[in-house]
Amino acid sequence: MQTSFTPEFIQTADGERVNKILRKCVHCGFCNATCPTYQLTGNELDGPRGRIYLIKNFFEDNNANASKEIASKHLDRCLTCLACETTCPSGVQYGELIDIGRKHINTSLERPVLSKIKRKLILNIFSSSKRTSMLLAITRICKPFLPTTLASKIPAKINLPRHSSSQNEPHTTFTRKMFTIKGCVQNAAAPQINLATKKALESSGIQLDEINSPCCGALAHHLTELEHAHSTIRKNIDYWHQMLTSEYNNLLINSSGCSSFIKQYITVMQDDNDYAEKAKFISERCIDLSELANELTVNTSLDKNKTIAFHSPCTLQHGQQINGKIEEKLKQAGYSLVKVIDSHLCCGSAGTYSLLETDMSSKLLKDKVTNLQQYQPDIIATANIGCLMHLQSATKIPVKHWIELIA
Amino acid sequence: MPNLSNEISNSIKDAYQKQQVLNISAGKTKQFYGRNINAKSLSLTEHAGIIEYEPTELYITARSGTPLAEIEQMVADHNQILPCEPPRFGDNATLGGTIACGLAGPRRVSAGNVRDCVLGTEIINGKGETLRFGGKVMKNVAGYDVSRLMCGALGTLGAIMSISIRLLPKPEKEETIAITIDCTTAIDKLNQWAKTPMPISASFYDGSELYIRLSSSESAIKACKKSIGGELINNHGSFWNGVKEQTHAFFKTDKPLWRISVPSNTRLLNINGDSVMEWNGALRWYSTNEDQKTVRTEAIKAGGHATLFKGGVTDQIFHPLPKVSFDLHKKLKQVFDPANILNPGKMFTEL
Amino acid sequence: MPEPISTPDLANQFCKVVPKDAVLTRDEQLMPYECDALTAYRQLPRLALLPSSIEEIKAIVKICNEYQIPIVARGAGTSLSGGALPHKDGILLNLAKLSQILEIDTQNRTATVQPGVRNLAISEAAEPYGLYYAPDPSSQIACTIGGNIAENSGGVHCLKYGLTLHNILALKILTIEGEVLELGGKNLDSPGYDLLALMIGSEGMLGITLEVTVKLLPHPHDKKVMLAAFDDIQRAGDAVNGIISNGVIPAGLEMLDQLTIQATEMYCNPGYPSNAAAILICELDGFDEELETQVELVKEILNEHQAIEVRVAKDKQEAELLWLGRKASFPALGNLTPDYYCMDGTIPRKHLAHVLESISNLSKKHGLRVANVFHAGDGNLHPVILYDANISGELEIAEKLGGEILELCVTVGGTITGEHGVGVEKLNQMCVQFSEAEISTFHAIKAAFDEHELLNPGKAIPTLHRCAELGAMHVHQGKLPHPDLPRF
Repeated sequence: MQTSFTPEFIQTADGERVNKILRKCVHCGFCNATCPTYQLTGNELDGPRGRIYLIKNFFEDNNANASKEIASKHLDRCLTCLACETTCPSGVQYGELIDIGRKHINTSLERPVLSKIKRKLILNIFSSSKRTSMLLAITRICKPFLPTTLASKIPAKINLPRHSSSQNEPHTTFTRKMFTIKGCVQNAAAPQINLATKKALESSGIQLDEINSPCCGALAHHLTELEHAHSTIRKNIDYWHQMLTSEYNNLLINSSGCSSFIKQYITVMQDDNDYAEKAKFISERCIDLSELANELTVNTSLDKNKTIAFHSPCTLQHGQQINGKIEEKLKQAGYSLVKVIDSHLCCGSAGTYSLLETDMSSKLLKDKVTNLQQYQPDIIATANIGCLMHLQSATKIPVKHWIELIA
Repeated sequence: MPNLSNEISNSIKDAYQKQQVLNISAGKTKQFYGRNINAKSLSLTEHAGIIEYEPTELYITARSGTPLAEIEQMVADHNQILPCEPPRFGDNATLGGTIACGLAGPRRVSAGNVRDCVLGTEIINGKGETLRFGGKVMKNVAGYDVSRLMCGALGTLGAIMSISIRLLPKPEKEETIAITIDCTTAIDKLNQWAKTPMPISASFYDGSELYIRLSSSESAIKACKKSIGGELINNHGSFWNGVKEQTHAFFKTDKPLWRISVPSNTRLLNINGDSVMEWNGALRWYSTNEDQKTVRTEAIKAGGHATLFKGGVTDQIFHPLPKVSFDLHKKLKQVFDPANILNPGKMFTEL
Repeated sequence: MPEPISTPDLANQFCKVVPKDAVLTRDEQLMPYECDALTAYRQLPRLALLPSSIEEIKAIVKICNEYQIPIVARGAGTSLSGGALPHKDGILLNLAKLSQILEIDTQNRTATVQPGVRNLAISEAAEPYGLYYAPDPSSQIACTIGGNIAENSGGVHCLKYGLTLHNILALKILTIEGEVLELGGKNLDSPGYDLLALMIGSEGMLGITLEVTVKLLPHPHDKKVMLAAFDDIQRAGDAVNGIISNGVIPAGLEMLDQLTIQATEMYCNPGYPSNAAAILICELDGFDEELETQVELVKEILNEHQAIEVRVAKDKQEAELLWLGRKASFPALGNLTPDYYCMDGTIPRKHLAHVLESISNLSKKHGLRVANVFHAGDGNLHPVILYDANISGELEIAEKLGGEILELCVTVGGTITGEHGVGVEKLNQMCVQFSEAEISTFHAIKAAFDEHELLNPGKAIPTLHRCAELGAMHVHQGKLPHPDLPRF
């Protein structure tokens, strides 16, 4: 695509990146075909091609105050599911482009007060496991008094078993050593997932330790609270780098949203001279649990006589381009998988999206649940805590992390 | 053979100036088709000859007066066929008449309609202007598709001068099997088979026997015969010729002959009279004395239309058009034939 | 002529018939609509509208007809000829929201859909019944059936299965007068003139498509994909003719030239022989039993024409790999250059070698590289001109070179567009392909449907004035008036 940026802009680090990405785009429109929001509104502005155009216009002519508002509205509506990147025949790095776009457009835009408060609240509560737990405890008490639409969003309290009830003898000697993080939302809402992960890994010869890192920084980054994000990331890098250079082989993440973001540290921190190198190291050492799927020992005592609809999170299939590994593992374990129509589309969770763009998010959720339920599965499985909670709020079929079906 | 474009163009220019109505015809084998008109005859028979035939390019270009038989022979010599298998209804049938009438034969279901194989035409409009549309290549989207508009227009939009037709390779082998079966089952079976990739190139149901023609390689035909069942028939070439040319016993009738085009899965129509079925059930022929209202109502109910193909006394041969469509027809007629001199009334009273 | 209406007043009129957020008024909102997939032409519309029902479309058209406001209908905006380029005085009617599949009739093997349904979505919906919709333009993942109707889109498989025209059974069209014109049906023909054929490929200038009924086909039993490499492009062309004259109609038969082969090898590594001057990719399909014999026959023909390598894909994965390079050839070429301009002429195949040589000469003359991707079976050539739009003047050179390539196609008896449509892009070349009387006829047809020229005005058919000004030479039946004069 032709671009006409000022030489000053192109000389900046972001300007060079934006120009490079845009020059790859041929405006063919294939991306719109798999964009969840474009499918809903049919509006060019709600598809990647339109957003790319909005970003291009913003940088070509960034005096217009009005253009920021419109651009920001439509950039906010983007789930960053990256289905478009999977579809794009020309290899346009949309994810990087929209991050840069959001950074510049959002920082130069004054959001309405209420919106600002909402975004701050979300960031402060959900980036902390403790605060999320508190919120959950309060809402669980209030649940009977809440409207059902809201009440359905509150996950049930999980009582963790005191002792591991594994039928498989845990290994005593481990071939590798990995660590995982406690995390924010998952630790509060579904702590059993980390337990199951530990169990699965350790019965497969991999030692897994849990450390107390609160959040990977994705939440702040999605909200374009970049300072907040970068400070979290720096702390993480300092901590993790030390772990990975001592005894641990890898950082293992079982929530694809987090693994996807940690793998992006390399680009997020590329302009930070002190951290760029270390960020690259972390990104390269981070693995998603699904990448170990074929190595895991299956718990023989679980009932496999069930049908499963698997929802592959966008952060897994598009963000990390990991496809089929979990499905294969579940099949190999003995479950039968049902077909899921439009499996490439986002469920509408998308980090904080479900809290900020409620209308769009609930439409996507409705469609997704309909497609997942079409062949009446016994269980819906997924690989990311955000999707898990989001889906569970709209279906009676139990939604589980896939590792719970293996460990 | 001579190129009479200039003479024909001059005749039409002349007629245009004098407001003289013309009856354009050639071999007169399909004069029965359409309404009777009373006009000065303009024959295209002499404007004949194959202009270009490129077997490797899969097309032939010929003048409208060229006998269909000559073209079919020429392409057969190169192991090719006209895809739509058009009926001749007589030895003198020409290519121009075939295009103007737009009638396809038994192979319609597998190889398309007359218009589907037209690549380009040269016409002379009602002002005597020579116009060329389309071309010789299959993929061509420049300008409106006027050449296909000429198909089935019964010469009311222009005198067709030459046509380029897409050809197909002749199937390696063809065989026909007959199955004794009732009508409803025949309709079901035909539609079921059509959902499979079996190479069925024609079908005909005469009321008790269903005839299926298979066109493919020997081995493929063998496999299909096995799954369809039935008995192989002899002389199948002349059988299909009888269906196409309507020399089959069914068509030897004194009663009016109706051609009813319906969705292929349509059940038996509620029309008294004898009937046969072609095109996987999408084409039903009725020889019946039922009044036209009954026949047309039945056709409409099924989502189709009825044409009084032969016989009868009605003035309305073709299914009446809705007003919005008919208004456009009249405007298009104006575009090509502003003086209304080309086969006026051949299709509808006002066209 | 009615009194001119201001844009805000017009927007207010539309807000009475469609929700407010379906009326886009601000420049920032309209900007992303200023072009389709041909970005060289850009124009802001006065307004863009996003109706979500037939009723809303009718109400919009009524207002436009009343105030004489031009309408450009748009589906997915994937046109490569600027078919959906907005009109400066008009509205852009975005039909993407009309994306419902209304019926899959498995008995009659048809699908009835709204105009904004994506081409591929039809096949996906028919898949459970073992059926599919045959035309497969390379943008099939995104392009809408309404757009396919407007352009009479082709695709890789139309050699055997036909163009959009051959696969549409019925259309519901809204005329500019606001009336619904129903054409065709689930049966195989209709009384009267073949308006269905006229409508398909009319580039949105005769009516607005409201509903489409398409023919569905059963999947072929099996497919075989083969690759043949040649060290001479003429031999590759001859091999294509050899295949067809031996009675084989492949489902797809594609040719890539050397530059394209090298580009795809660098881009996605499909394993094409990089020393080849041209490769053919041939897909055969059919009944199991006939397929084997056809594969053998084609192999023999390819060897007869001195292919330096013939490969038959052993399984689905290998077949996909062979297709991968072809399918990725445009983005692969995009990797060699910031911008490319894709042409779309069709020629009788026998002229292939001559045309490719002439293209190569034109390429040298203008100093821009041209790669060739070719639907070899049906003679549809896609010369891809590589240029850089950020270098001042290069786009103009690319356009000039493109125009000359199209005129070359006409001189050898072909056409300026096989499947992309004329749009705004090839208006000048229309003057070369058609005479004044023919172009006048096109205008008269337009007027019969749309007297005041409100539907996609200015596209597809050049004004006579434009042709006169251009001084373009109309080429009669592939013969220039004075063939001895050098022209390119």
